[in-house]
Amino acid sequence: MCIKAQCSIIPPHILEELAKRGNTSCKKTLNDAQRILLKRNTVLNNLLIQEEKAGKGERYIYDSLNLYKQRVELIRKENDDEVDDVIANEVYDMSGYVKDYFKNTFNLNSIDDNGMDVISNIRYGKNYNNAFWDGDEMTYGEGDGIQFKDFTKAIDVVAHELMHAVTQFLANLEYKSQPGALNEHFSDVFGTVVKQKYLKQDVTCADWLIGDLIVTDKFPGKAIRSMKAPGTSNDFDNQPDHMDNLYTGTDDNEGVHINSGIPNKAFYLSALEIGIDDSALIWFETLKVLWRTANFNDLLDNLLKVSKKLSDDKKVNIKSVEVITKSFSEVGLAQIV
Amino acid sequence: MFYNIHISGGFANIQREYEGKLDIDIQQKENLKKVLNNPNLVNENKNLTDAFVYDVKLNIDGKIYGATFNESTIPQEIVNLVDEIEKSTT
Repeated sequence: MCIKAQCSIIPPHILEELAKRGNTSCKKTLNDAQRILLKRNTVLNNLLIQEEKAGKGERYIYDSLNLYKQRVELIRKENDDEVDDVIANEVYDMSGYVKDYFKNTFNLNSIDDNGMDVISNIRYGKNYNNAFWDGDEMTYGEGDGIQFKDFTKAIDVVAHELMHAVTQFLANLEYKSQPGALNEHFSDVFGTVVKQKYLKQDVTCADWLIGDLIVTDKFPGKAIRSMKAPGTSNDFDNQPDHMDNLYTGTDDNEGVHINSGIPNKAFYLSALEIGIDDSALIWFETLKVLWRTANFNDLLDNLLKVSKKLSDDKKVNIKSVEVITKSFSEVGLAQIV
Repeated sequence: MFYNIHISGGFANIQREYEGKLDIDIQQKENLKKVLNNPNLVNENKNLTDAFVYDVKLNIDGKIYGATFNESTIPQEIVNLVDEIEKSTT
């Protein structure tokens, strides 16, 4: 057994290979080591050795007051009554909905599975056309009002950002190239899953668009991304839907928001066949076994292993292995034997 | 000074490109040279997702200076420069 203390002297490439072969404790050590290394840059080392106590997963909503700063003014926290601020109340409700989805569906204890508080900053910056997760909290701009609305207006955006947190703590996929595109992929997957649940949509009638509620009529397109038809959601949409068109440039951290179109399309095709719930379960369980440098082939390999086990256990459709194989084949990915 | 600034990433990944000439004073030149020659990447937040990526190339007095930043590493001098350029182009 590869316990944490033993793994610490093993070179990362060996840990990675063991993780690829299914050793979950090595995967955890590899991911923890990366997180600890990162934290060492910013916090006192003696804090690192303390065991983190489980939190209560409480929501905190801060107003950035149009400054480029976080946690400027606390306007609502867990169990507070509604406040006189529509955006704050919406973010409070939507982040609660997302947290509850993960709790009720996968028994995840908040976004890190350890009761981490869910902190959101709204009205960040001036006309700021973005939302991001920074490792600790979410931050939303209110948009320029010309092409973008407030980024808090859409449940899929909120779920997308919160999913970055879940990914960080479950797989710690590094944010560049194919691992980064997988990081984006998982955020789009659960952004769209949560959106369909929130809107009580069925896979066949859902629009499969990401960010359609944050663009204005003047925006040259209907959304930011499309899982059903990557590359078609707006005039700037350069997402490929097949490995033949994989982006290999340096923009966007080597195409993290670009190449995510490929697995996104495969997820859409799979969900059409086996349903959103089975797909969500398979993808979530797969995320738990991925590691920092996992690529598209690693995703497929592990999706097939996980779906085989889940279908053997009668937890998902028995055709899931066949469906996922076919879906990924349609985007140019086949299992490496 | 000639500039070429390419901004990518962000939740929407809608890319922006700024190219042109800007007159700046000697002190601003020196400050920009300094931050581009020695980009402070020590405090880079590797958990940052959906942040903007700034590819900055400046031609100052015939010499090319360049660096790539994200929102956790971008120095205030570059933030101010982008603001100035964006204001002048709108």
